[in-house]
Amino acid sequence: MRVYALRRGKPKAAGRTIHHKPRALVARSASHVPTFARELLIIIAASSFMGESLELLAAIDRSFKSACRAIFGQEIGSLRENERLFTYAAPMKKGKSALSGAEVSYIAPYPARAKLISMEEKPRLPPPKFSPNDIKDIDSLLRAARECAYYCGSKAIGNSKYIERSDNVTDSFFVYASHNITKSEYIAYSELVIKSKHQFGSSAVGESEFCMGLSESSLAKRVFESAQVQTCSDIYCCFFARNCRDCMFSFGQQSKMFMIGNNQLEKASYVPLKKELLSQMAAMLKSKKKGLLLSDIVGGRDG
Amino acid sequence: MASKKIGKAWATTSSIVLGEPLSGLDRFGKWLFSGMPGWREVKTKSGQVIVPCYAVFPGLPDSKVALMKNIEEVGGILLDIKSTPSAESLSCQMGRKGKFIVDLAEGENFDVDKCSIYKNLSAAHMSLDCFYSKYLAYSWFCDNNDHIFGCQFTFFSSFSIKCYHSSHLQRCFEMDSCSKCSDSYFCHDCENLQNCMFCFNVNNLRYAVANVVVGKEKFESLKKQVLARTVRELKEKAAASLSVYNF
Repeated sequence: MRVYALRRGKPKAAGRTIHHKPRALVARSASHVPTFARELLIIIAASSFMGESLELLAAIDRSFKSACRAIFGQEIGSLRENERLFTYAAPMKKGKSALSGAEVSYIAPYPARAKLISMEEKPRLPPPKFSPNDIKDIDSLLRAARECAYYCGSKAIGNSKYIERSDNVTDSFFVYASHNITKSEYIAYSELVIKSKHQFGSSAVGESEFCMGLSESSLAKRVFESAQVQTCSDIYCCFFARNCRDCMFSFGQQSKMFMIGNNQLEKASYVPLKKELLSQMAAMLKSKKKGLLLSDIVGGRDG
Repeated sequence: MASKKIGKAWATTSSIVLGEPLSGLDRFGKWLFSGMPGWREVKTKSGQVIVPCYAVFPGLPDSKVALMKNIEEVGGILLDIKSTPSAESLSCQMGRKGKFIVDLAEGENFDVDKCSIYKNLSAAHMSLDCFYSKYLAYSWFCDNNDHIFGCQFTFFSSFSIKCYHSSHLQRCFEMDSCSKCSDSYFCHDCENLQNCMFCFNVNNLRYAVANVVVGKEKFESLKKQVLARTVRELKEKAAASLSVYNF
């Protein structure tokens, strides 16, 4: 069950920006201050932004490590070292702002020649240079449209903070390289996430926590490389599980627990086997060995 | 092929939004689904299924796709764990022996054709991951809508065609990242627009074109020209050249 997703969430109060204060300060006042002061403000804002960026990356890394402890019982390295695992979300596109040259992230198929802006730069957009009388037919209309067409990227609205390389984020915190994220926290390399926490490389997920490589799922906890998982916990490399817990390498299961390879086990035999398999999986991930991604598994990749 | 109900809904919506009823919904399928991740139709022994082309699904071979109605059979395929299994051997076995259920249908659904991953839909055709909606076709990840065609990440909207990342739209066409707008066309990142065209990054406007308020008469005349061109192209080529992502 997917929770109700409100694309735009609660409207932002007029005149306020959601990012760190100095960035907003630059965005709002840049046109009113002399050049030297403006440059100074930009330097202050940049250093402050870097501080925010570092804080975000450190928080996301801590979250990744705690997710690994919850999933595998041990850490498998830093987020950066494991970037190769996160392949399910469409990668963010990057461009430069037409106004400031700053980096803008977006996911929509904006044209290659598009003039980009980030959300904080909207107040700095130039006013239209034409009057209603200049627009007479389709050609003049399209000329005018081209002039005012600035595509907005890095959109984070509502109550959001610590967002980087992301787009279409609503009411969320600590989001990195992700898009279409609503009411969530600690999200990296993910897409279409609603009301979830600690998601890494997930796609189309709602109300879930501590997951890596989860697709098309909801109400899931502690899940690694699985898809079509509903109301489940402690699921590893499974495809289609509903109301299940403690399942590994299983598929097409409903209301089951203690399963490995679709075999029903007793708790006493499941627990030591799970421990052994998890330590093997953690070792495979640490040594960057392939074979645990669900996309590789379902593709019938030979070991 | 789209059902009569859906065909009628498409004619009604195109008449309201574009000013002329269009027939033959499937003819416009490629145009309506452009810019979305796509899908593929897979025939299994138990029937046809639509497999989405995002996340883990693109790598799934056709021979391994199963339907929800075969869940007992799929869940009964056992992997060998007699000799102490390794994670590597289990993943290999799962790849070789496993069948994977792709279609997920929950709630009450009526007249749903060629859809995958849905809940509580009525009169839906060729849509992926759509919930709580009626009269929709060629849409992806849309909830709580009615009469929407070619939409993506669109919520609480009605009578709209080709709208993306938006919510609360009525009678709109080619809108991106907009909310609470009605009777508007080709707008991006706007809120609370009524009767606007080609507006970018603005809020609270009526009868505006390219971010300039032009008045009702001029707006209607320009809208007529733009829609006439769009309908002509659609009738000739089943696709329109103007798009919100074209500027």
